[in-house]
Amino acid sequence: MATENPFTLARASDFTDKQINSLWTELGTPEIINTIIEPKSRVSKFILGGKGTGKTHLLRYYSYPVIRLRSPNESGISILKRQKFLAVFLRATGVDATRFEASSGISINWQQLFGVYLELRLAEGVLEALCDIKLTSTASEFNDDLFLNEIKSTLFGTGLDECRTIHEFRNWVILQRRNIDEAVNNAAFSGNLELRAPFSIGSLCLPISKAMHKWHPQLAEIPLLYLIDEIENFSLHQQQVVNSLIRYGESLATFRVTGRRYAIKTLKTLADGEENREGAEFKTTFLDDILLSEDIKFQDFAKRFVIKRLQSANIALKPNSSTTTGQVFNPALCFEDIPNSNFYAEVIEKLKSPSPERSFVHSFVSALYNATSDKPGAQQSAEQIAELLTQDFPLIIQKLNVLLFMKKCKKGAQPLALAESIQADARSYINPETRSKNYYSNAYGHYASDLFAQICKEAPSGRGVLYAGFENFVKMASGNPRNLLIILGKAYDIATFRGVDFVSGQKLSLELQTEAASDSARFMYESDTNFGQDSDIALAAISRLASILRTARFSINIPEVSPLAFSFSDDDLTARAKKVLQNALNYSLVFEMTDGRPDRNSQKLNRKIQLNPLLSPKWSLPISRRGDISLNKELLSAVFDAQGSEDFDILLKRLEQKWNTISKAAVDDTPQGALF
Amino acid sequence: MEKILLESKIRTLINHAWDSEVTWAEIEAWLNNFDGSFLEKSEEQLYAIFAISRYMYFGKRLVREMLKSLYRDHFYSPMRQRIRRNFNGTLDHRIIDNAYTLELNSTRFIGVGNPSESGAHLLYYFRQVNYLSKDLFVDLAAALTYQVSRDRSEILYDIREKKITRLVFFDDIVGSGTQASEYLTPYLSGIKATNPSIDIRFMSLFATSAGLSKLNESKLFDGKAMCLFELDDSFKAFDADSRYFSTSPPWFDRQKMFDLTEDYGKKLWPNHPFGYKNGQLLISFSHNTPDNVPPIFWAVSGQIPWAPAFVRYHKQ
Amino acid sequence: MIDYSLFYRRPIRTDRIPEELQKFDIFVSAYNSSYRVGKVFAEVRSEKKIWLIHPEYQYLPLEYPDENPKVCPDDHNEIAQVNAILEEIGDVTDKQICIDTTGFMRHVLIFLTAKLAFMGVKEFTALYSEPMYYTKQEDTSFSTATTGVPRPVRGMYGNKSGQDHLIINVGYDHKLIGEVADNKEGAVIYPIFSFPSLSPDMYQQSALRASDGGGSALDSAWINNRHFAPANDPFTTAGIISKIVNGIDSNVAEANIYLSPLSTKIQTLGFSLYWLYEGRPRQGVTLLLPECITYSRETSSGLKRLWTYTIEF
Repeated sequence: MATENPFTLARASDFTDKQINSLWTELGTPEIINTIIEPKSRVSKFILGGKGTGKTHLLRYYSYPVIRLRSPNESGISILKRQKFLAVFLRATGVDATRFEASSGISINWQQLFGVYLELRLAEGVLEALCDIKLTSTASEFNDDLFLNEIKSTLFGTGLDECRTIHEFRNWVILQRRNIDEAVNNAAFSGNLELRAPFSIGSLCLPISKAMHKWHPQLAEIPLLYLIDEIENFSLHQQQVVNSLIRYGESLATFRVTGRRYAIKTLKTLADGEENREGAEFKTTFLDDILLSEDIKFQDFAKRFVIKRLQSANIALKPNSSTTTGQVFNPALCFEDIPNSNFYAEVIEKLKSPSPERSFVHSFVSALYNATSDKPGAQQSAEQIAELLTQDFPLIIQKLNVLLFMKKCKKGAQPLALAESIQADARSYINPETRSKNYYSNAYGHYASDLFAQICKEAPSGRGVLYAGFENFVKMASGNPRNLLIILGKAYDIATFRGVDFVSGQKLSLELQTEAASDSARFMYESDTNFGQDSDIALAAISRLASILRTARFSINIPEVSPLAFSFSDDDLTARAKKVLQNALNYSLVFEMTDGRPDRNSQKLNRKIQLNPLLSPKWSLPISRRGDISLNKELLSAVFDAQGSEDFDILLKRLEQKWNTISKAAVDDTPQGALF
Repeated sequence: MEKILLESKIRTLINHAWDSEVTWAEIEAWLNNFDGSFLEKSEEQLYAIFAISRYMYFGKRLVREMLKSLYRDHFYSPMRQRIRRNFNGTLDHRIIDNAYTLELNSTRFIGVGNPSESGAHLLYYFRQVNYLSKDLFVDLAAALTYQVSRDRSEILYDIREKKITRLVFFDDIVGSGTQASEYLTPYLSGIKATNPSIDIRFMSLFATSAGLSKLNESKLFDGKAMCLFELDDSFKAFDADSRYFSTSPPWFDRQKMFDLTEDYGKKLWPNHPFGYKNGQLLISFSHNTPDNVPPIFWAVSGQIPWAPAFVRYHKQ
Repeated sequence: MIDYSLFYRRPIRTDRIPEELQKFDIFVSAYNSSYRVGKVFAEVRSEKKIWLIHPEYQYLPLEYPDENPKVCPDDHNEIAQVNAILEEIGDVTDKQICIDTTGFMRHVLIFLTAKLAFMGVKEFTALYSEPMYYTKQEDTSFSTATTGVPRPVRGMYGNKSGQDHLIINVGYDHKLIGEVADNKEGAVIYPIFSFPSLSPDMYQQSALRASDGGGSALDSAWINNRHFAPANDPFTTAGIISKIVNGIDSNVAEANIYLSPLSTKIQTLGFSLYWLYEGRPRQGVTLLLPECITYSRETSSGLKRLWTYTIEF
């Protein structure tokens, strides 16, 4: 039997109401949470974000049944008095709204029918809460008559008159809903839909608020909140219904609607009516942006989150670090960090690098020779330069020297002299006593991790580029709790499989952590992005993009430090490419970095996009970005416009060549004429 | 890198298909058997781990499911459909249940081989998962009586309980079929002679095509031998059409795999380095590994030290 | 209580199809360019034989089979496709109908079965053929593409107020599995694997692929709640579903059940039968499938076995 992984993805929707309460971790300060939901505000809100940003969790936390579980012994009335709002939760997928799309041969107003159905479901939620309140507040006076009189005035249908209590009314509502389910089913077979709607849109889920206010004196001012989760599951026409309810609901009920970034399909109201406006009828919050912002100390949150998960799984936590407050358990210490001291000597030693051929030197010599082949003694020159740059240096310094040579080798520079000067700077840098803050030390700081990645990749044994360290895992999660769970969940699985207890025993090794990171990347790419055709296309485009970034990272003349991002002009995108890129953004495969301001000089909109670092291990890419690769029109097309993908391989090869050769012009050291 | 990819695949296999019944520690110990005696050590281990990634293992849960299916889909259901047909397609449960109970009670399930062998061993679980009465199970000796023929040339077997109308023989895996054939022929001819109308069948979980044919010969089960899974030649690891190695990565050289299996195999079971009668099967169950599987997978320390990947309780 | 063991099913010798199968009035088969579908179509004896050309396979007219009549719906929707078939079939009263399920799109097969029951048909024969070999799908231009939002098969929806449960029949396509499981996040999941499978290595293959089926496959329930049903038996499959649902009902009040058959076509028929016999009366049972824009043409060779099933209403 498979045992529980404490980092299981159990999505917020999986949690029973009870578990949500116990696993709630403050994302930051309570103020931040409230600013997201703003339960007391009378303006409806759209709360959008990628998978795993905690939207459902937030919604359900505010819903009446879950609040009720937090205070099992309190009366319903007392709870509402304290909370000052009543929120009802509905998951959009639970409505199976696809049934209400126009289908062959049955010509009715499906949009209207959907609207009626939605209101019945929302009202059911309200009535369930009200029944609980009545049940648990025996000392109080509830006026069912007043309630029913108020609500019945806008409804019609059989059985309505016989409802005398709120319970009976609830049953009536449920019955209406079932009637619709039945009728829609039968319509598929018979070709006819026979039904009379018991009310018109807006006549149930909004007035019920008024009825509620009359039902009990203490409820007179309590606002009614409808929490709808995952609105992308409603079609455009169905969203028009929700928009109408938002528009006309203002004083009666407000909505908090969650969805993916791309969830909103229209702002129009019913029958292509007026549009709701941002800031007027509704406000929008993007959760990803909040999570990525400075306000949320995600590294700290991550540690608390991990501890909470382990505790929930009844795993004993042995203190492993001392702080001012005593011995505590610090999850970061369960993971080995990549030892980068002494120029990564420890790891490089283990990798048994360099391989005897030292292929990168070979490539460099070739490149240099090719650029100077028309000169006498070109081969010896090249080899001599290579030796100057690499002899007696730690491997990573050798690589840095070669890289610096390639960068500085421009027209006018004397290759030999350049090599000598770099050699001198390198020597000076290696010795801690003579090391100073100069271009060389800057270069090392920037390029070290890329060069180390190259060494890992080139090593014959070993598992390629290493991904390890708790802080790095948190970075890869990009502020998304679910991403963090994915990585840690994989780490736990792998450790269990290998018999390693990294929580209480030895630290998780670099190799196993790398395996976890690779698995997570694979998971996101292969299994977790299942949104049909659009996501398939987006994934293919991202793969092409990533191979450009990878080619960059592993060339002798790395064009940009830590290449994880790319930049381009928005005008250069074809319509189709734009759509694919937008999908990639929607599915969180990439993130957008700029604020969309046009370039000062050209007035063109420059955009900067970064790959989701969770995917990095799949292509051996870095997990934090620094520079960005600029993509021209041709490349953009080849990457994002599927039709152009045959050209892609050619373009990629060209880039590879560019980044691995020295141009002849650069090494032309014929004197320029006297300069001095 | 390939080794790492394969390790990852095996982890998935173990967790998702093998119910975690095989542990990584066992696989690792087994990989260390390949110490570079024939090829470079890392190459040997790469081939070894590749073989594991293609191996078929059936854990306890699957074995029980097979036993359930054997009874439910190949005995119970067909018989009840036949009864229903005989009663003109009635759906009256009582009629069918009664008729079925009669049929079942006059049936006996018998394991092939002696009671300690795996066929008989599985019968215990067969009975359990199908909630059958123990009275339906006998071993051959208990089921039969015998007489010596008039001319003293042969022994004639007969069924002890006269109301028995059906015998169902059972085994887990049939290889070449010679063992079952040798074991059963004397009994079956006798029984058929004295009880010409008796229904004699054979059921197994797995059988090679050759073995099944042999069992279906007229002197044995005459067409009434069945198995849940038939293993044709494509299930022989080194057959030209082998499904194990037909789609393999570019670095894989089938000849090397063959040689490795043979070279180490000869050290472990000199006469049958590819498994009994050149079986070449790559199959194990949670309760045993058949000897038609090359010994490199299941041998234990004997002539040379050896850690098995899959356990087999080998008959000496 | 339905006794699924009583429904008639038997194998047909592939070299004696005309002899071992009765003559029918109407025979319908969905074309998928495989040898076995073609062979069965040729050898089944029937007064009228109809080819169904599913739009999802994207066949061009010059790829169509020769025989007529052919039903070629444009609309992917199951109501449209079934209506087109029924129009070609004409009056079904007292007709002996035979359907080769092998090439059918799942949503059409499910709805067709239910529609026939709705129309008062008492009985029809279903066929299912197994190939000798499945070959790897190399040609990606005929791959499966979906809209990304699974939906209930029209007319076959039910709803109960309790916890969602998702019973998935797991086949080879991890993307389809992931799409359905992700859409019903929060449901308690019961994967039904096809075992005994059509050949012994298929279970392992399927388990491996399904491990890529998204977040649900990471959960312990994916391993612990596993059930099994034979790949070629719709009745036993329906019986297994029945058992699972009864088990759920004895523990959970008003459980809301989603059924998603993503394995063999004949098991898909079994799911439809369960819904008709037990799911609809119970209420709260829905058949849920990804919505396919295109579907990969299966590449296989030969005909290994043919099965016939008597479907009774």
